[in-house]
Parts: sequence; C-alpha cells; structure tokens
Amino acid sequence: MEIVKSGCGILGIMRKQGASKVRVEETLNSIECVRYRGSRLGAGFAVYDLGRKGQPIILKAFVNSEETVEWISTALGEYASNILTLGFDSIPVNSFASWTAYVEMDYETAREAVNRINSHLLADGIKGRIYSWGRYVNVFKGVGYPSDVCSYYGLADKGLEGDLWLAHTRQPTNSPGVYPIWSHPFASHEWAIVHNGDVSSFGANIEFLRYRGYESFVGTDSEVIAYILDYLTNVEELPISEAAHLLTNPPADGLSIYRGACLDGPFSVIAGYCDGQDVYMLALADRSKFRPLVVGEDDERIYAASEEAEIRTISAKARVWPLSPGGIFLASLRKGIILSGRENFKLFYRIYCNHQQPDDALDVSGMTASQVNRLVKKLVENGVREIRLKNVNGHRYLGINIPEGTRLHIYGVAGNCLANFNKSGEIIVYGNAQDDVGDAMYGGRVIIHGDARDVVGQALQGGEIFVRGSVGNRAAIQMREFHGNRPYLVIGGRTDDYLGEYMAGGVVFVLGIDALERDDIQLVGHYTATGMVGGRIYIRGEVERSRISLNPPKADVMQYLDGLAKEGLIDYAAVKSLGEMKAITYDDVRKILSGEPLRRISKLYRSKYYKELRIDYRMLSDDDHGIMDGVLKRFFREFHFEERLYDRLLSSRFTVIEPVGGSLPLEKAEE
Amino acid sequence: MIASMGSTGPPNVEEPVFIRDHLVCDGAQVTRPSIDPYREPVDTQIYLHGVGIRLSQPLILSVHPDYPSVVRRALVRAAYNLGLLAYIRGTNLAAGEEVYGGRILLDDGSRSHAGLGVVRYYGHNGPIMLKTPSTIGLEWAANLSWKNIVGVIVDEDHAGSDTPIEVATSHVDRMLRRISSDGQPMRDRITLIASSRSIRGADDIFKLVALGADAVALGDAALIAADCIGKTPSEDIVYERIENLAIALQKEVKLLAGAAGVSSIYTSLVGNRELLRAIGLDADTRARLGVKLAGVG
Repeated sequence: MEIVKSGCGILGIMRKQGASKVRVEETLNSIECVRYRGSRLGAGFAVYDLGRKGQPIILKAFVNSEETVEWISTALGEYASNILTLGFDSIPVNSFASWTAYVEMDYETAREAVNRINSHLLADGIKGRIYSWGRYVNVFKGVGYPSDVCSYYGLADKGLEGDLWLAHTRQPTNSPGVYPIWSHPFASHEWAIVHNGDVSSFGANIEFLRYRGYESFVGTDSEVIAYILDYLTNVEELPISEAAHLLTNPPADGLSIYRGACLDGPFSVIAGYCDGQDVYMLALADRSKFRPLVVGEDDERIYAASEEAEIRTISAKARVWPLSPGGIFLASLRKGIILSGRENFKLFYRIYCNHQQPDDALDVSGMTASQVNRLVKKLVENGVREIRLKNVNGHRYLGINIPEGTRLHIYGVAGNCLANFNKSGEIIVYGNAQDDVGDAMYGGRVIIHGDARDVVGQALQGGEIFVRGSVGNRAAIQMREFHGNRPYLVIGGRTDDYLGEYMAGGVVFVLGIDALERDDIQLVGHYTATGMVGGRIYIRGEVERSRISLNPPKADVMQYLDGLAKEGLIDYAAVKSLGEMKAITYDDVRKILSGEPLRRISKLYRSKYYKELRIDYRMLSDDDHGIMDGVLKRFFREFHFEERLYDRLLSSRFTVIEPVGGSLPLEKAEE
Repeated sequence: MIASMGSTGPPNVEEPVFIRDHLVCDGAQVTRPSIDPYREPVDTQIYLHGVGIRLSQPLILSVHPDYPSVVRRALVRAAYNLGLLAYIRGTNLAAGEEVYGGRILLDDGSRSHAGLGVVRYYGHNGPIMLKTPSTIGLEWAANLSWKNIVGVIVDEDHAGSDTPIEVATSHVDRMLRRISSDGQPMRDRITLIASSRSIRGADDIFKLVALGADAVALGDAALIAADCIGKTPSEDIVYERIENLAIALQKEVKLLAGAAGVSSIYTSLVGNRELLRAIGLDADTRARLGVKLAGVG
C-alpha cells in the first residue's frame, strides 16, 4: 500500500475543433494515473456539451431523503416554468444520492433559486445541496476514488463523451470529505472548477460574495472559486481573462472594488465554461506556485493537469509546459490556445528527446512506484549495472540508492522525487522529470534529456544535475556544499522564480542554449537568489536587477526619497534619476546616496537578516573557467552539443551572483 | 505576536485585557505554507477612497493634543516619509507641517454630519470621512446621504463609545457591505479606519484589519516608543524612534500575514474573519465579531 500522500489531483481535457469528442474512459484513465494524489474521500467529473443549446438547465442535487426531494421540487416550482424530474442518477453513498431534474428558467432566476434553496438545505443540518445547474455542464461527483464515482453514475456504461472534461481526486484538508457535497468539481452557472490547494483568502472571498447574492457555502475554500468566476463573468460581465487576472491576485496597484475576488495562498485551478457559443478551459496557478500545474496540446486535444503523467497517459507526443507562477492559461474549442500560461513557451518547452525505448528495457506500465523500486533493488543486488525501464509514467521516488558504477535509464516521464537522497551512480531520464528532482541528493549524477519541473535540486549537497531543457520554480533552493563536496546544477534552458533561494553553496548555471540569439529574453523569473548566503549562480546574459533578490516597493522608496529631499538632505535631481528606474535596488540607491541619507533609506532595504549580494555582469575570468569548465564540458558532451556552441557560450557575458564576502574556493573541479 | 505551543501570551497565561486578546490567528499549516517576508513579497499597501492615497501599510499615526510638540513633529514627518497618514486631532496645522500636508488628516471643527465628527484630508476639498464613536448603535447610517463621504473612522476615544473597538469595527464593516450603493456594497467605495489610543502593536493591527478595517490608527504606542516623557531627547532621536516603530510594525504585520499564508493585506486580509478564532469569548460576542470558536474548522 502506498502510504505517502500528495495534494489533490486535477485534470482538464478539451477537444480541438474537428477532433473527436473526449470519452469518459480517456478522462478516467488519465486521472486514475495520479490516484495516489487523492483518497477515498472524494472525486468527480464535469463534462461540457456545446450541443445542448436550447435545452433546459440540468439541475442536480444531493439529497438525503424523499422528503428533501419533495421540498426541492416544490421550491423549484416557484421559479421554473417547467420541471421534468429525472430521479436519481447515482446510487446512494454515505446517506446522499444524486437527484436530477430538467428545469426551464433563465440563469438569473436559477441563481436566485439555487441560493435560496441551498441556504435552506444547510440551515438546520445538512439535508442536501444543489451542486450543478448549467445547460451545457453536467457534474458527477461523490465520495470515493474517480473510478468509484464513475461507477456510481454508470458513466462508462453510458458511453458519455463531451467537448471538455474536468476531473478531480481529492485529499481533503478543509472539510471532512465524508459527504459528497464537499467533493469537486464545484459549479455555478456554466462554470465548473477543480482545485488543488488551500486558499488563505477564503474569509475575504466569503465577505465579498455574501453581499452579492451568494449566501450559502458548504465551508470549503474551493467552492468560492466557482462563485467568484460566475459573479465576475456573468453578473459583472468581465471577460474571462480579466476575471482570471483578478483571481491570481497580482500585486495591487490601486483601488479595486473586486479585491475580495482575489485568491491568496496555494492554488492550482482548472475551470470549464460555456457561453453557448464556445467552450473554454481555464487554468490558474498562484503567484508563489505552491501547487503543480502543467498544460499541453497535441493535434487533437488541449490538456491541463497536476502532473505531466496524466497527459502522457493519453498522448505520448503532446507538447507540455508548466504554468509560470501566477500564470493564466486559457483555451477554447473554437479558438484553440488563447493565453499560454507563460512567455516564450514555444522557445523553451519543446520535445528535446527522441530516444526510442529499447525493446529489451523492462516495461513498468501498470506497476506502482514501490513495485518498480523493488524491481530495481533486486536487479542491483544481482549485479546488473545498466538498468533500463520503459513506459515510466509519473512513478515517484525512482533513483534511490543507486550504487557506484550503476546506471538507471528511465524512458518516459520520471515522477516526483526522482533521485532524492541518492548518493552515487547515474540516473538518465529520456524525457521530462516532474517536481522535486534531486532533493537532498549528495552524490552521483542525474541527466534529464527534457525539462524538470519545480524545486529541482532542493538542498542538493553533492553530485551533478544536468537538465537539457528548462526548470520551474524554486530551483536550487537551500543548495549547500561541504568540504570537498560541491554540487552542480546545470540548466540548458531557463528557470522561473526563486532560483537559488536561501542557497548556501554549490554552483548553478542557467545557459538559455535555445535563446543564444535573443538578447531580449530573461532566463530567470523574479526573486532570484533571495536570502542567498553561499555558492554562486551564473546566468547567461544580463539579468534585470529587479529580478534579483527582494526589493521594497518602488512607491515606498520614492516616498522616502521625497521626504529626504524635503528635509534638504538630498536634491530632487537624485529623486528624479532614481524614479526613472523600473525597480530601485539597494545598489542603485548606494550609487547616488551616501552618508546620512543612505543610512536612513537603508532601513527600507536591510534588516538583521539581510545579506548583501554581489552581482556582476561580465566576461568570464580564468577563475570562472576553473570552476565551470569541467562540469560544462561534461554537460555538453552528455547532450552531444557541438564544440563551437560551447566556445560561443563561454565567450558570452554572464550575470554572476554570490553573497558579498562569500567565498567560493577556486579549486579546479575534476573533469 | 507569533507563538506556538507553550506560549505565555494571552488569553491563557497572560491576563487578557481586550477582546482582541481572546482572538488568535489560524497559522499556516502543511497544506498552506507560510510565506517568509525576508525572502518573499508580502504586500502591505492599502489604498484609500476619494483621494487616491496609497498607504505603505495599514497604519495611521494619531497625534493627540496632549502629545509633546517634539512627538507631534516626529509623527507628522515619519507618517510622510514612510507613506502613512498622520491624523492630527485638531483643526489646524502647526508651523512647518504644511510641507507634509499631503499625508495629514484633520478634524473639521466647522462641520458635523448626522451628529458625527467630520475628518478631512488636508488640502483636499470635498471628500470627508465620518468619525463615529465605537458603538453598534448606528442609527445615523440608515438615512445618510453618502455624497462626498469616502471613509468612516471608528474611534474608541470618541465621546459616546460604548462598545469595544473590535466589535464596532466588525459591525461597521458588515453594515457597509449590506448597504447598497448603485447595486454594489457601499463598502466598495468607503474606507474603514479603526482608531484607538490602546493599539499596542502589529498583532492588534492585524486583528482589526481581519475584522474589517482597511487601516488602524495608533495612538499612545508611539508616545511610549518616543520615550520622552520627563526626558528631553533631541528631535532627531524622537523622530528615529518613531520611524523605527513604524518600520518594525510593518515587518511584524508581514510576519503575521506570512504566518497565515497571506501575501496581500489589501486583497486578502481585510475582513478575513475566517483567519481568526476566539478563545474564551461568549457566543454572542463571537457572533458580533463574525469569528468562530477556536477548534472549529
């Protein structure tokens, strides 16, 4: 039995125009691939069918008794011009069964009716809940794993298919999960959402909604996301992209009447919507990217998922990329991808690796991660030195305890926590690796022919990690080194935010090999090297200073400068020159101010825990070559790059970041 | 304060003094990681209605008439330099304060509105804020013309206060959300400020913001920080102490927000009662605050 749990698993699959409809089996197989992300406490699906234009609203409710059914029917009668009761569409589980009716009424009336009925149903114990009321969307959810929910409703037997499917497997954190009212998807109007996270703004969101016509809440943070999307797009009539922008909570830059709609804390959300003309799939990541979320497309389908493995279950050739922190992905059936969720995804996120799976490799499809690891352990014990695994798809915890002289070849998608605590041997991934590669690894080598996702090289303390493609958020955080044990992380593409956050040792390279001709592209996200205390980071090209470390808001600095000018301590020319900068770093301030004004304004930048960084943009020196030549040659050899590319790269200028006073001993690394 | 098990803080060990001493904040947990403001952004800025003023943090510095002039000067200068507001309890500026006028609130002695105090932004004609005693008797609100009113200050030091500031703040916040203005909650265009001489630190500020205040006006804490009663420190030293107090409060507000997994005060903390839980408060008071009992999910 797998005992280690993850967050929830989420999924969205939309067909492209002209492609076949998405079948329930595709969706089920895909979400079941991350069964370990969920629990028996909740799962669900939402399916969209644009073809239902002109049909009545499908209203669905969980009910605990015939009495509740009667009550709901009567209450609906006050609002609907016609009601066709379909009866129960699921078997009862944990005291509740799902009941369905077709109702003829307009959306505004329906919203009001649902609010009133739901308020009543929760007023005195839980008697039931209307959980879905759209013309185009149909939600199926309950207590169990996705496969259980699928059979409660007989979805496979019905051969259900649609333009868009959402799916969820739940690890409850905010409600007990024992009743189906707490399962995902949550829906309002034609919106349905699945969510992985724990929203800290929940209370503020409730205050926002409570006085805008939404008065009944089941008490989980996820539900408010559906209501907010419904309110912003249908009541306030904001475009979907604008509503999505509000939800991702970008730093406030003025008064906003919608501030209570912003989400805070960790969230990955996949949402569906239909306006009668088109079907939309929206995916959102929180600004700290505290939850995983990838998107992808192939010729037939567009995908969004917690893990790449969910997508690979259906499509071997899809192009897959992660959302950036705070990223918004929006696609529609008719328009295709509208917002890609990040900049330059075509440049940096491609399929680098065309290795064929060898016929004699061990096929691990259908095996759990533990079974695969037991198999590998046995092979190691039998003295096998070249171990080849094929059809790896999201298997976690691979590459642990690989002995010296042994190589583990992984064909497919390496799951989360690859090479954690590993100390020797070599692990080669012919494909992408998911989150948390090389956590606390202290020796050996990991070679990834594709991309790696978030937190690669966390607490890395020895050995080497080579990534041909790009990595996600928080790479090399807490990386450290000990005497004679220096780790290296080499990234062929780019990184997102928090590269080298509280890094304490070792060396990181970000090369941007696929963007050598592009001076306009930044190879790192924001907050690079925040809290860094040791080691060194080399980033090819000139990194904007505002992307390095954490600076106070420019408005605060400008205000203080204005105050200093009023006191006659600085002149207004200094205020003006700093005001022209995009962000004002401590370095910028120090170039212009000194003495008392500098001491004063330093308070906005420095604190007891502040460690100053030395940031240079320069040609590489002999000392740099001493540090990097060996490891970079190995990187280039591994991925078969041409020699002249290597020379070209090393003649580029690099942004070099290290703590002031931090020393990287310049011993020549062995080749 | 941020505490863990074994805390000696109120209400369990130290004697609780105010209602807010009975309120604790649900800290971040495994599923909702804390945000470390030393390395990650926690946005503390607040925007005020009617005048387009941005506060760098939810803090206003009150200047009471009994404060020594050296403290008054320091409060006005620090409020300006740090992007806050100084609220001078009087109708006129003193010499030399005009230069900081862009960040000063004054009592408007010449006007009263529905029997309440009127507060104005120095240099801004037209927009006003109403000042109400800390009370839940808000009969004035029902038939008020809200024209030109851009804010409400709930002032615990105002004559007629009969309700703790926590309860009154929460009450006014929800009242303003219930009243409609062109189909939207009135609260969307009204700034709410909680004011009391008794505000002690960032924890008090954090809790009052979670109960619905956009900003909190602090009083005697600044006087204590200035440490000049019966002593004569130089003007620069008094200024530095008050500036340090305000900077420290901002750092602490960030720590508290970060511990609760909140990265933006303006969007996610204001009115977020769900982050608070009550220990040792009766059901009636909890209902008035909108805060659940500790231990309730």
